[in-house]
Amino acid sequence: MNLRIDKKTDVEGLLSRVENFASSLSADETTVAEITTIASEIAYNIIKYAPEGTLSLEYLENAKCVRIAASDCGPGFADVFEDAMKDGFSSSGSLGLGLPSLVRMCDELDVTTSSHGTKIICIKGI
Amino acid sequence: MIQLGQSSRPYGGLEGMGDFFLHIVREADDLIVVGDVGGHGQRIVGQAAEAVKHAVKDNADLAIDELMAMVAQMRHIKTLGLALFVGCIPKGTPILMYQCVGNLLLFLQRGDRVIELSRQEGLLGLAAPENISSKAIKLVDNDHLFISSDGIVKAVKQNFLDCLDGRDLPGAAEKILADYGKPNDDAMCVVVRFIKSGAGLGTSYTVPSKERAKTRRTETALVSDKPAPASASVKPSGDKSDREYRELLSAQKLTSFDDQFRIYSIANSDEMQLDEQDLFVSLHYSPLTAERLVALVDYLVRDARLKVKILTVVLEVIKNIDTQVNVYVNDRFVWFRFSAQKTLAKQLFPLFGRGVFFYSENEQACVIRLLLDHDVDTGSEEFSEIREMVRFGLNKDSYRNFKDHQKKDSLINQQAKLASMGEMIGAIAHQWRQPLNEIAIRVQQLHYFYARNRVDENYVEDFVSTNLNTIDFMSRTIDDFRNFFRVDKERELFSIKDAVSGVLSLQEAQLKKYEIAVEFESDNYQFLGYKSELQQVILNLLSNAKDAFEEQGSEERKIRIMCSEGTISVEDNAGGMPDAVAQRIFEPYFTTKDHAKGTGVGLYICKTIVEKNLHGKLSYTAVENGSKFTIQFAEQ
Repeated sequence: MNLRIDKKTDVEGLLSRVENFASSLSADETTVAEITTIASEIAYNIIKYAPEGTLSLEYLENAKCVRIAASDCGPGFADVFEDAMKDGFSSSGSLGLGLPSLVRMCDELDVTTSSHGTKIICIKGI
Repeated sequence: MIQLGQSSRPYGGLEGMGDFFLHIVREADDLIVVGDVGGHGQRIVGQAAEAVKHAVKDNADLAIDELMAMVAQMRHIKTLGLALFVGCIPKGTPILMYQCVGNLLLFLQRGDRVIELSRQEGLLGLAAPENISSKAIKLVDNDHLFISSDGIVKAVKQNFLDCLDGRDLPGAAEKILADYGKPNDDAMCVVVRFIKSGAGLGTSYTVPSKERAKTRRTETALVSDKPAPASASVKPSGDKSDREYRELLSAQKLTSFDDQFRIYSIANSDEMQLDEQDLFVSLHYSPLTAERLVALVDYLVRDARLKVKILTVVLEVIKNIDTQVNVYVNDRFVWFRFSAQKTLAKQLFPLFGRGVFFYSENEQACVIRLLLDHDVDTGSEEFSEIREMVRFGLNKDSYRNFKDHQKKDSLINQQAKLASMGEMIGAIAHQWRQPLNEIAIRVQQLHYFYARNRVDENYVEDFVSTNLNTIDFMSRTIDDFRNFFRVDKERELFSIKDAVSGVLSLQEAQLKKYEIAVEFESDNYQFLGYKSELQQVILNLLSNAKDAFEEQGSEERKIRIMCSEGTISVEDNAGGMPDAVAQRIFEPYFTTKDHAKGTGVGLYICKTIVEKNLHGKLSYTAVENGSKFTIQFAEQ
């Protein structure tokens, strides 16, 4: 499923669709909750920091996993990159990207950010 | 934690070597720098590499992007160009963060899998990309990161595991250099093994004190510079006397309080060891934290003062120290557990006091334990709703919205199901009308034949067998439709010839009755799919042709079925149809028949079956004095 996110996006509706999608793939509540939480973190980040972006969820049947990909054309966070990614080591505490939680919840994570935008790919096994 | 092996070989003398490597153990992470200055064998190249190494060492406290920007501005680099990798692996989090510009070899070996790590084309200083991307990749235990200059041939990628086989990392690096190093260039490679620390994520963190937060980028760390194998890291002298002195001072002021702290807050292991099953949620700073926390505390804590106190403390901890707070709940207690240094613990202790606040010096962690002042049923729906709400970072209103959406979504699903049920019932009715009619006629005739004494044993036998046949057909229709709507049915390899023959034998009586001659030719094409569904489609097409013959009152009635190489065509000479009708025949509920005969689902269902379930195409073409339907299967 492909979802477009901008400032007017109805996050609750979006999350409901993500949850619906996740629960069609897995009966495990924790997995469903984690996929939804990953989508929630990403969606809120896009809304907060970028003019608009996209979020897509795809079930990869062969690998038995969900690929959650997001991209936006916002200003990125290369300038605070290490602080934003590290757990418990941010100096100011005002970054609030929630990225460490993505690291924790997904099986594979690939983040690319520059002043031209941000791309995040999360793989979560089912 | 990481292990590291490195090996290098200059093309000419060591002083002309442009490849270089640094491993700097910083307080929070391991910094790894690999570079390749443009050119080799010239003195200036070696000098430039040395200059970059020194600059990085002197500024080892800078962030990755700052280091990149600094190096790009260096004098020789601006003329020679530099391929550079700057990356770090934090101590608490399993990720590699890096920037990489230029022609370096960079990949991750995970088990049998080689994961290419992206880098940007260009040369730092000379032709740097306009925008340098920062990358982060999650690491898993025993991942091997390989970085080398272009003096190592790319074939190493496929054979990396062989090079690693049974060797320590410096040995593996030597082996790679020996087997894959180019003879006509400087060559250097680094192998890094990531070992996930036993504690794992989310259980313990070392948290920097506030002092550190302010001065974190001035404390210079440990530096190793020799591009020599093995002992690449050197221990730092470290200057902590200042902080220790300050701690000593404050400790002296607070002697009596200190005693209290020591006596009442220091936890025994029971108080620190919380049951993972009771873990309610892990909170860390994100745009959603405050809402999450308010919802949680609102639900768990009734006492207003305590509520404010715990909210303030936990938010402060999450925001300012930026650590994770784990919340545990069972039916008696709620616990908040987070990492903190002793100084912070001392500040927090008087807010809560004995029996509530615990601190473990070994684990550098605090636990605040509150006795629940009302019953919390951890098995209740309310409890799981709150948990969901907190996890997804929704406040009460948006959670209600979320739930409404959930209801709507399931309603839409339900409606879609009902719609297809409706279609199914329509289709069954369509299929059944004819046989029901047949049975009705036969039953009505019974009176007539009886009155004329024509009901003998033969008649009864014939009556029973024809009616049973018809009923059997009706029952099969239901099975076929049930199969059509079942999602779990299995695809099978079947011969199209058999499938069509099956339908023809089913319809034999009907065809005879309406005096329709069927010509059937087929090759032995095998198809992997749902046999009963294809039969359903053929059945519908035959039944449509029959209706058309009746309507037209045709004299010579002929249906030609040709099957060849995955194409089935069903052609009749029933007069065809006008263009306007032909354009609409595949629409749902479109029919030219009167209501007694058709509901119009027939061809629509046929098309749906062919496209969705058989992945083929159903099309109509007008032929001379008739119609032709063609089913074309996709290549398998």
